[in-house]
Amino acid sequence: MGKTQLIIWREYWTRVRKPSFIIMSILGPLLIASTFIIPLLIKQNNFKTIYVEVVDYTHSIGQHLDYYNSDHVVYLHHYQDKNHNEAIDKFRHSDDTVVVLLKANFMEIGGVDLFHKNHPGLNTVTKLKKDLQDIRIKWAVHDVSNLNLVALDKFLKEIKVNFHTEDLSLEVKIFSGIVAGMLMYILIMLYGVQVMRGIMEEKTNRIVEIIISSVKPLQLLYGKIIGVAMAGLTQFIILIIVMFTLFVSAKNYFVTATIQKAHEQVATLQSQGQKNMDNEVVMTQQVEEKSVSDQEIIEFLEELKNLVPKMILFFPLFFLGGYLLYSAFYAIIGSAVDAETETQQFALPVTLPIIAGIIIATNIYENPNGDLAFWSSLIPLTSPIVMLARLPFMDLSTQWWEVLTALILLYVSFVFATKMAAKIYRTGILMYGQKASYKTIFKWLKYKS
Amino acid sequence: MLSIENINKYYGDYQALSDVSLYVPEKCIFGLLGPNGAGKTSLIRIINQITAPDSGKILFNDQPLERRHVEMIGYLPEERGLYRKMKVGEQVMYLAQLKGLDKHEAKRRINQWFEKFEISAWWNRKVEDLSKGMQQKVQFIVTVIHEPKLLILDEPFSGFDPINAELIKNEILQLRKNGATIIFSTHNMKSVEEMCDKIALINRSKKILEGRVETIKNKHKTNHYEINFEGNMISFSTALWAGYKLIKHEGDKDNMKAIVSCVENQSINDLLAALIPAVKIKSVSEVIPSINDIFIQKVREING
Repeated sequence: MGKTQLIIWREYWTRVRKPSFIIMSILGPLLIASTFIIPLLIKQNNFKTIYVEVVDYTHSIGQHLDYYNSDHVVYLHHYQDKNHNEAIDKFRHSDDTVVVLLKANFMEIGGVDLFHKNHPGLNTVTKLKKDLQDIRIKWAVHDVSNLNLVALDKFLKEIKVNFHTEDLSLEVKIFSGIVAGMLMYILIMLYGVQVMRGIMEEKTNRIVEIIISSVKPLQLLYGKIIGVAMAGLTQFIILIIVMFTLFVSAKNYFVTATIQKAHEQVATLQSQGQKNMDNEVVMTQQVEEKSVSDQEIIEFLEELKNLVPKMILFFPLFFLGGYLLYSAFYAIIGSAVDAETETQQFALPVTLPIIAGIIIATNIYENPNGDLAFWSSLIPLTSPIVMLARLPFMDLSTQWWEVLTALILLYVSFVFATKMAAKIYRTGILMYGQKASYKTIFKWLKYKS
Repeated sequence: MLSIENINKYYGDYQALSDVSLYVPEKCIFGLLGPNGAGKTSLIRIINQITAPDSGKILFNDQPLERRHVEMIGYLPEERGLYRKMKVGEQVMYLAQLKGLDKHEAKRRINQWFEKFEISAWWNRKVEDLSKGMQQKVQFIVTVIHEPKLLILDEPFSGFDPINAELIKNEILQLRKNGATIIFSTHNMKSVEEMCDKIALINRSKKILEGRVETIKNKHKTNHYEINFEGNMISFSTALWAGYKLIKHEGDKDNMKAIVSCVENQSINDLLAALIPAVKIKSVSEVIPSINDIFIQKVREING
């Protein structure tokens, strides 16, 4: 073998025979696959049938909707004006009932009011929209003897669903859930890894021996974890202040801009008041459409404001719990390894649940109260991230126990993880030049103090 | 000062220390010797309360060793380490406060030491910007800043150039003079001979030798004498009676050197009486084994 071949062989063989190489080769594709599979799981898993009560002011299409019944969505009765209040009330008593209200001008405008207690998830809303759009188009085609392209164009516009509950609009929930979940993910990773690096630094440059000849190893471990946690919370506070400032200024900007526009539009209308009727109708429509988009932003910000207190209350609680739990795992890694390159094989199993958490969190809006969403927001390894993404969809007056259980489980498991980490830590930090494996780490667990 | 009694320490199935007992008197410089992996570091960590023994006890000034004693102990580990990104001054302040000094007192003493070692200008430098020798000085200050009663120095001279090694050596002797007791672990036998009053030799988890340096040396004398002479090697060897054994010889006619062992219990006088008629003797001295020789001999005896 030539010398170059020899080098090639060594470089190849030392990498390929590492357990981490094999693990990574198997887990990598699984991880990638899971980014597709988890959203599907969320959609499908425990998909309760949603019952749709239709209140029909068009007096015509409601009766046809049961044509669209599927496993997931069943259109029940349709009511007309007489007993609509009774119908609308129905959603208050059932988790899986939504009320769709078709206004008299539904055929022309396409606006739908949707009442629900718990958010039915994007999947259901998408199906409702699709069904209603379908029936509108078919209705238009049905009336083909009187071809009116302007009218037909209107039908082809998308259905607009207006949500009517104490609930917020879907977009705001998705947005705040994902932002909070992401932020949680970043902060936990960032600060957890800092604990690991800190411990590793102390171990590799041997200062740990000087420090633990002055203080107990556990004082050093807890001091580090708490110190880093405080840095994380400080950063959270700064983030909140910055976001709040942005929020307030954005709101002010849009509110003033809209009021100004409204004035301008009124003035324009008045000056053109003499023109013929048709024109006026078109004008009014344009003005309406314009102000709708501004109005939406204001509503968005307004609703965000309603969500924020809940998020600000629970974010630090879940961050602290999640960080403490994960920092215990990272502390184990930091105290077990001797060099940065060795961290990979241990870091992977710790990183996996976090990544699973963030994948679930970013897809949770599909079915925020399904089994997967429920369990992954209770299991401590994923709960900090998933619960935060789920929180906007939850009604705390009835679902408070879920949040409370998640918090209790999280803090209990943090206590256990830290106890375990402490045992490994105080042996691990003194083991220089010894290659740690899962087996040796397990052995350290059993050493006497 | 420090009395170690029947210490046993296990790591899993591996026994790092078996039934080790030592006594370190007040104001003594105590050499803790032994091959790599013999258990020295384990013992030092136990004294520092970094780890606890599985059995046995340690008395510090006749009281059982307790947590509060850590403030009376200064430890310089073999593998030196400081936070690389932290400033020198801040770092020494931090470590001094961990040893129980208040902020004000720590600052005063650090200034004193920094002036003494002429490193005051480094206060705001990061450790990683310092040379290895400079870092060693900082490390030494960290070890002694709280004026410990007991100093444990693991290879204190490694990494120092001869000038700084001398500086540190004098500091150690000064500290002893001021009342500190020093445990000194090293492979540098020359410094053991120069500085230690007492030594203990640990091999394969067991103590195999302990005592005052002079006593140990005398005990390991082999009745060898080194003789420098002028004259003929043949007449030298014929002059030795059956009771003597020529171990080795070297040199030329005017400057011969021979090492002779007295096999039976003859004294140096008997040896000289035999040799004087044969050659012209220039000097005679008894061969005292060095600690190095004793170390090697003892360890080889046991490890085979």
